[in-house]
Amino acid sequence: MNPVVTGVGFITPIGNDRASVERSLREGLHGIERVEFLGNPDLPVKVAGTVKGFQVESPRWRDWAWPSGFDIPKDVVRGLAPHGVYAICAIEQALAQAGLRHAAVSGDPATGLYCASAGSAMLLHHNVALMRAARGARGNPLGVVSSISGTLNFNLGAHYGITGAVCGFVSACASSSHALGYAVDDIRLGRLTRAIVVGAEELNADSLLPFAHMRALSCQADPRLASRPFDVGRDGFVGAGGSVALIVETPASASARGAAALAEVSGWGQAADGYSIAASHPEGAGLRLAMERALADAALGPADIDYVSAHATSTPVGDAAEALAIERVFGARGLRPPVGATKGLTGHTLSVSGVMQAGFCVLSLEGGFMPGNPHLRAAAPECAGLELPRATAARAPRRILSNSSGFGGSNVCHVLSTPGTFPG
Amino acid sequence: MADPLTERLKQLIVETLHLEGIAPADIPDDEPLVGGGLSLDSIDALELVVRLEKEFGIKIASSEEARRALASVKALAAYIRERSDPPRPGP
Repeated sequence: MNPVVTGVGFITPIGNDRASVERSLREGLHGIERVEFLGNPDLPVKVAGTVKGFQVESPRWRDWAWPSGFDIPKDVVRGLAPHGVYAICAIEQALAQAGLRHAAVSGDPATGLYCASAGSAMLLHHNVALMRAARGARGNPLGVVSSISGTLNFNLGAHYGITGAVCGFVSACASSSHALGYAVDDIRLGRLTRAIVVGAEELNADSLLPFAHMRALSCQADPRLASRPFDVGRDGFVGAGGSVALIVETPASASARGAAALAEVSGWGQAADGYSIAASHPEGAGLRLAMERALADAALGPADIDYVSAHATSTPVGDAAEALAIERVFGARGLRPPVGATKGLTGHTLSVSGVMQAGFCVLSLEGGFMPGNPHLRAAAPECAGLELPRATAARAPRRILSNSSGFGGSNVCHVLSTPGTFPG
Repeated sequence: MADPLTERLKQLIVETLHLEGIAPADIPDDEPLVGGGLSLDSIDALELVVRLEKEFGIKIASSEEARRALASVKALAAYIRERSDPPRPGP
């Protein structure tokens, strides 16, 4: 028995609700803008995938604002990091779509919460600076819970009254893919019937600029040229913020409530590179094994996959490794499924990446389309073996393989399917 | 005549805590600041203490002392006057 997705919520650079995200994916509309960090126009980082409609730049929660329609009480918001605000707005959408009220999840021992975020470097720095200024004598009582990694699970677990399981994942850009994978396992094992899976990241100087010093970021100033997965001219990723939440549950739990199954999570797999702290294995060895394991877990073969949602972040090394891994899994069997890299539109939301792609896959399966690579000009020679359509195809995929990779060589893949197409 | 210190304190409370829909003049002189009509709690009180220490160069050393200082705007003004160096003129 595989779990199904019954609700999705989006706070992303390409839209803050399902309808606008779907439109952006169908029409290839990006959410990348010119930015200036720390008032320094000389920084090489010129663009980012910004979240619109929020004011969370300040380290002081009293300065924050979010779209009307999301009610976040004061005693909740002051324990949050900026990305926690995004997360609540995403979860509220997902719960509403799934037809779940707070009372249905609060205190329910069959509902678990699976979170992914890197914490808030901005709040950690701010709070530690205040403490040091007071020579250790005083600090923000909510400094720990609002800033360290784990801030999402602490806050959301309490806010939603989650009693089944509350956990967090820190495998960098594979974090939310791990969150979804382990949620699926707990449901398959019968430990829980329902999971809220959420990833969230804020976008500010403290969250993003450290990646510039690793030379991982694009230095392009043109938003259409900066995030170009698989392109010969790609020069790094474009940082982005946001949150995506999924409600995942047993088909029985969904149908008991009359909730529509939007997609099935048919399988997942993971494997690691064992190679570098940050760089991908040059041949994508871990990612290849993770894809093969996800397919095996779903009892499918490569020929059953209609579309690959690539992790591709637009870095020279990472995209090449993923292209090779995809070629080994598919090309070696004479298969060339279309491959789409949505980070060309959103930028890279770091730990949110996996669950964001899963959310996009749900829209693709439901709406019958396959996002392309609208910013691709010329595929790099090492990526040329892939089928990389520019435009979104108005064809319905039935099964999608969605990839993610993180620092330390973590690789996680999911198979998402149209409900009812799974053979078992 | 209004006491300039209590006026300043009311303004500071509204500013520091971003009290929406509350004007400085709406804050009564004699009511408890924490747990009263302003719906402030101990975490708000701590933010206020940090700001007061900065603004008036005083030290509110313990939470018991903070509770005493924040008993009301009037009590807070008296607390600051006692500890200011040089002493602040009375109302």
